[in-house]
Amino acid sequence: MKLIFILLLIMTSYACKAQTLYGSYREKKMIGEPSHTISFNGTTFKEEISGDILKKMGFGSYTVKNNKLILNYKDYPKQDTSKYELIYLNQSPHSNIDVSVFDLDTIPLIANYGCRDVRDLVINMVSTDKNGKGNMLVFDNKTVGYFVIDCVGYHRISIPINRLMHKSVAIKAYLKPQKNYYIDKMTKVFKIIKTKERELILTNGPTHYIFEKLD
Amino acid sequence: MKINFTDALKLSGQSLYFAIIVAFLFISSCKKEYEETKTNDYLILELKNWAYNNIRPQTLTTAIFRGRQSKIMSAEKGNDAQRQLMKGDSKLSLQWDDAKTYLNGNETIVEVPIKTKNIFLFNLTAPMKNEKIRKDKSFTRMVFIKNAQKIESFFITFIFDDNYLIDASSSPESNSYLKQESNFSGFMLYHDANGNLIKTQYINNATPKDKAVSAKSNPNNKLSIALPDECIQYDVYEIIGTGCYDDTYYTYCENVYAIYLGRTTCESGGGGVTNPYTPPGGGGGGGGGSKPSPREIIDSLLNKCMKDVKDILITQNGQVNALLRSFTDDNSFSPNYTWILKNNTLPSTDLAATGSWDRTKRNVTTEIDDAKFSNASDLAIAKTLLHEGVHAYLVAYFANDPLNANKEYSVLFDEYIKTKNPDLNALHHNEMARKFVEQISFSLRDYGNSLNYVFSSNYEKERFYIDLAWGGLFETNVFKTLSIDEQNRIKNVILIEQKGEDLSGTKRTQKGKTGGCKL
Repeated sequence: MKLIFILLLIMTSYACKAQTLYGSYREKKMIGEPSHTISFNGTTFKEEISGDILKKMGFGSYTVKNNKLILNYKDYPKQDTSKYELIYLNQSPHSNIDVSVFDLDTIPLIANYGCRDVRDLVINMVSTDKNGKGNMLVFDNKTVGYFVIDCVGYHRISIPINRLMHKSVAIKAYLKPQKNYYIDKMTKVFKIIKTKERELILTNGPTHYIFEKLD
Repeated sequence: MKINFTDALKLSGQSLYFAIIVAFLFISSCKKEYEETKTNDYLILELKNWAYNNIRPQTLTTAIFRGRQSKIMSAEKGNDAQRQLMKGDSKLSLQWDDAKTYLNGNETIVEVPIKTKNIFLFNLTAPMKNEKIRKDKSFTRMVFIKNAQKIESFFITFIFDDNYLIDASSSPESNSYLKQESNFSGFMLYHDANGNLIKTQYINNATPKDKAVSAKSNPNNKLSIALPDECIQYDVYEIIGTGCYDDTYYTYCENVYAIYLGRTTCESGGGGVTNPYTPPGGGGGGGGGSKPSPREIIDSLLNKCMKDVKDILITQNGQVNALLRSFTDDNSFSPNYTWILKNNTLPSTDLAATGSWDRTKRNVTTEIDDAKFSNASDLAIAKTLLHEGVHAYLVAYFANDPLNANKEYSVLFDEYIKTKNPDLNALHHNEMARKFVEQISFSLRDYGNSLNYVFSSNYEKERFYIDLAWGGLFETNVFKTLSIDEQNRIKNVILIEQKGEDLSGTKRTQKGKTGGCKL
C-alpha cells in the first residue's frame, strides 16, 4: 500500500512537471504565405514571421503545462529604434517643444508630431514643415501622457510628457526606417494537439498550426 | 512678252486684291487659333483618363501649393505669425463640364476651372483683420496641352489688379492662357501639377512686363522660363477661408488664412520663386540633400521570365499598371522614384519582399525568389509583380510625399496613428484588400486578355482573376471574413498558377502559360 502511494506520488509529480521544447520549428504553410519560425532555447523562445516589407519578431519565456503551450512575450532584446536628443533651453510655465526631424543621415524628414494620452490614444497631431521642423506648446494637464514623433515607414519615438513639462525644449529626432516589427508584451496560449520529435501541432480555437522541426 | 501700263496696273490690282484676301485669311486664321473652339466630348474623356493616371485629380487639395504646416498669417488675429493646423483646406474639384478649348497651331489647349468648398485665392498680400476679400481677385484653372506626341498639364492662376477689376468693361473670366483682355493688368502664376510654383509673370494692359515667354512645352517637359527685362519682386500668398458668404463683389469669411508661399526672384531663371518650404537640394517633398536619380525600373538582375511579364504589364491600362509606371518616364505625375527588381533566395514559403525607401539613392528594392517560380505560370508572375509593385509604390509615395500620401491613403494613415505599435506589413495589406484587389484583378484580366487566355464563361474569368488578385493577402481581416469554402477556392486558384497543383497536391492545368522561370 505504501509502495503504491509512493508510485502514485511520483507519477503525479512527473505528470505535473513542466515539459520543455528545444530547437526550431517552422510552420507548414502554402507557398506565398509568410514563413513562420519559433525557436525554443531553455525557458525562452524567439519567433520570426517574415513579411513582404518587414519581419515580425517576438521574444519571451514559455511553459508547457497540461498540454498547453503558453508564450509570454517580453520586450525584444536589442531592438532597432529611432533615436532623439533632448536639449533643455529654459524653464517655462508650460512645455514649449521645438521639433527637428531627420533621417539617420541627418537629412530633414517630414514627419508627424503630437500628443497622446496615457493609453497612447492620439490627442492631436500635426506635420512638420518640409524641413522637418515644427513647434508645439503643451499646457500643463493630466490628459497628455506622451509626446510622439513618427512617420509611416519609420520607428516611432514616444517621450513621456513629464520629461518635457515646464520646460522649453528642442528635440532632434532621428527616425530609422522600420525593417522589423516587434511583437508587444502579451500572452498567447495554444493547446498542444501533438508533439513528436519532428512535429508540433498546436491549436487556438478552430485553427490548427502544424510545425515541423528544423535541423 | 510686253506688258503695257494698263495691263500692269490691272495685274497689280489683281495681285493686290489677291494679297489682301490672303492676308485676311491669314489674319483671320491666326485669330481663330487663339479663340475658343467647341469642346469635344471625346477629348475631355481622353484628358480625364490621362489626368486620372498621371495627376490623380481626386487627390488634389488646396494644401498642395505649400507645406501643410506652414507659417500662417491669420486675419482673425492680426498678423501674428503662428503655426497651426489648416482648417480651411479643401479639395480642388475640376469642373470638366465648364472646360473651354482653344487651338494653338498643332496644340489643343483645354482650360478646366477649379472649384473648392471654401474660399481659395492667390494674392500678393495677406488680408488684414476683418478685411473683405474681393471674390474675383483671382481664379485658378488647370490647363491641359495636347499635341500629337503627348499631353501635359499645369495650373494657371490669374491675380487681377484692382484697376482692372473696377473697369466696367473687364471680364476676368474671359482671360485665358493664350489670350488676355486688352486692358488686363495683373499677375499670372504657373504651378506644376504637383503644386510647385514654377513661373510668375506680371502683365500690364496685356503687355508682359517680364521677358518670360509663354509657358509652351519644350522637349524636357518643363515650362520655359526666361530672364525678365523688367523684373518686379513680390510675395505670393495662398488665401483660404471658411465660413464665407458672398455679396455682390466681396466675400466675408469667419476665418481667413494667408499662407506665405515665397518671394519671386529676379536672378537667373527670373520669374521663378523662392519657396521657403522647399528643402535644400531640391528633390520631392520630404527629400532634399540628395541628387535626384532618374525615375526608372532597374531589372538587370531579374530573371528574363519576369522581365517579359513586367514589360507587358508596364504598357497596359489599369490603375495598378499606372502605379508601376510612376517608376518610369512615361508618367509626369511622380517625382523621381526608382524601383529595383532583382532575384534573390528568400526563406521558406516567401515569394517576394520589398524593402524600405533608400533616401540617399532614392530607390526601393523588391526581391523575388525565382526558384519558387520554376513551375509557375506567367499569371502567377504577373500577380506577384503587381502585388509587390503596390508595396513599392506605397513605400515610395509615403517616403517622398507623406502629406499627400497620408491624405490619399487616409484609412491606412488612420490605422497607423491609432495603433500603438503599427505593423506596416499589415497596414499595406489591409489597404490592398480594401483598395487594390479589384484593381489588381483588372490588370491581371487585361494581361490575360492580351494573351487570349480562354475561360468557359465571363463569370469564370472574372472570378478567376479576382481570386488570383488575393495572392499575399491571406492574413488580412477582409480575407478572413470570407467563408472557408471561398478561402480554399482562392487558395487553390493561386496555388495552381504557382505550382501547377492544388491544395491536395493533385496536378492541375494552369490558366496561364508556363512562366519559363528556369534557373
